[in-house]
Amino acid sequence: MRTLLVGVVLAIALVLAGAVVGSADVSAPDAVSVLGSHLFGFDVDVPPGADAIVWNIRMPRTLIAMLAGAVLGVAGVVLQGSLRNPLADGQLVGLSAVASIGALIGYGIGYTSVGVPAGVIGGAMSGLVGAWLVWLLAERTGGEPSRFIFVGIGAGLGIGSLVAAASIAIHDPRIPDVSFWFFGGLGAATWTTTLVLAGISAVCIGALMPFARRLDVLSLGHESARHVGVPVAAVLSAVLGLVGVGVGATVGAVGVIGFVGLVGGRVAIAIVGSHHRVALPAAAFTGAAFVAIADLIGRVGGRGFEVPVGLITTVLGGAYLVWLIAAKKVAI
Amino acid sequence: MSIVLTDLSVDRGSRRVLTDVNLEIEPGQFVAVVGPNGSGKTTLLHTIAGDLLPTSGSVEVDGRPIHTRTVVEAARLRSFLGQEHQNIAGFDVATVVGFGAFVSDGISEPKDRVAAAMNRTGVSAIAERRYDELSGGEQRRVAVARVLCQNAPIMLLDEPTDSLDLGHANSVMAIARDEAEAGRTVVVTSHDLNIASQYATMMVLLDKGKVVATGTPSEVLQADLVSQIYGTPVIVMAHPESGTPMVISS
Repeated sequence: MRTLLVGVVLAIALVLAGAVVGSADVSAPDAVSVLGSHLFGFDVDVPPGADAIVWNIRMPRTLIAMLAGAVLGVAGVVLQGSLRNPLADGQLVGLSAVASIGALIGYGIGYTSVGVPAGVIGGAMSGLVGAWLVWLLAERTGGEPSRFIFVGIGAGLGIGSLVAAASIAIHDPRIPDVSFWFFGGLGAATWTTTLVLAGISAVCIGALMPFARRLDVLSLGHESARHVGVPVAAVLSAVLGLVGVGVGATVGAVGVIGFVGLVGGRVAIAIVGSHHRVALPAAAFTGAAFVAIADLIGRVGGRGFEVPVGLITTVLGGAYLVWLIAAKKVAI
Repeated sequence: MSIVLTDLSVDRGSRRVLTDVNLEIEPGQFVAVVGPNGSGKTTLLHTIAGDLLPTSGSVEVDGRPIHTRTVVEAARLRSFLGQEHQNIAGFDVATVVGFGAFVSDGISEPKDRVAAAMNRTGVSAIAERRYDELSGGEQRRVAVARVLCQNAPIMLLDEPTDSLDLGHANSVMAIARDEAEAGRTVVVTSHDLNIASQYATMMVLLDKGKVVATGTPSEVLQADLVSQIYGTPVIVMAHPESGTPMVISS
């Protein structure tokens, strides 16, 4: 309960920080006033422009960062548990790269008839296919964690580069630039995209929760789990499908943000333990916090220009990965 | 619950691993499947478990082909102890033992059954320790406790004494014998002829995927046959107390 309280307080603090921190000159009291007026109907005066900056730019950006982090963190725990690989992560296994193919096609199409960015829908669809390809890859690499990760990194870099090259070649203003496909981008976040991702995140994370006990038992290994009554193929189809849709929608909404599943997942397990009943919601918090903090660093760290959020997560996550392996914290 | 194998042949890849195996195992029997490395012991156990499909012939458990059962139905019929030492990160011993009860409870872990299984295998004292920090022998005993916790009428144990010292090996085999005496059907594979002989009521000797002898340990463990199958001269003598056959290199 104390851990949950800390998580909620941290999340609120990060939302407030997201409203206050930025290159535009909006004071902290003004930013909080904007939030108060929109969320609680307070009648307060704020300087012209502050409302638009805080409510229409910083808030969707902050919230979409946290939603993406939550989905990617949960995805990390599910991938690590279901594929029995402590280093599994949406980007490291190549899932994000496959999802970016559909996202690219979606952005080329533009918006759907109901105003939802087609990039998010395309990303979710190809993420679903990507998740099952990842499962196939895990089976083909014979359960060897390091081999699986190396193949995933290689395939992911190759596919990601092709998508980035295509985005240059197509040269269409509707399609995000190269940086989006490698290091993500929160600058274009809108309330519409944020709400769409919120809906998809809620469905995916909510639907994963009933699988918590089965995911625990999968830690016995797929064969032993089947022997005690877990329909492994059906469970993997469902949980990896949900992860694929969630990660894919995230890629469509904010691009490829690396290492969130690894950092969010491992840190959550270190704090609350391996039981998925608590590790899944904990990873939503740790993943959200990781991306939100990386975004805050990116907003102020560039001194006048913005550092992409995925660049920060990759620097921090890469260092964490090196430490995990060097300190033998994971068995690979 | 009976197990009937009829003209069973199993291929793994392009290689035939089991050829025309015929066996009938009745409830209450403690069957030890023995044979040299690569003789097909583990494949036989996995086929009975429903993990592998027969290339020809059939495996009937309780009157119906095992591979036609759902995962849940199969888990209610048989438990399985594999050879692998699993790297189960992050869970304590009691939780891992409780995984065995998954099929019967679905969600919660029945604590009484977990406690009883841990007590019988002597792992109660390490119930709160992390599984991935245990020795190989301790992990093996926890795995046996998980199998007991599953409470299935058929127990399939692949090399259950692997990694265990003499005392714990005897303890695990005694548990398996007690389960058979209580009416379960127990099938173990073993590379240790003497411990198999000491506990099993029926022995099946495999060589190159074929059954070369079945019967009581005294009927199967004939010096000439064992010497020929294992490719080394042996003598067989009676255990001074139990009278069961003991195989010694000559």
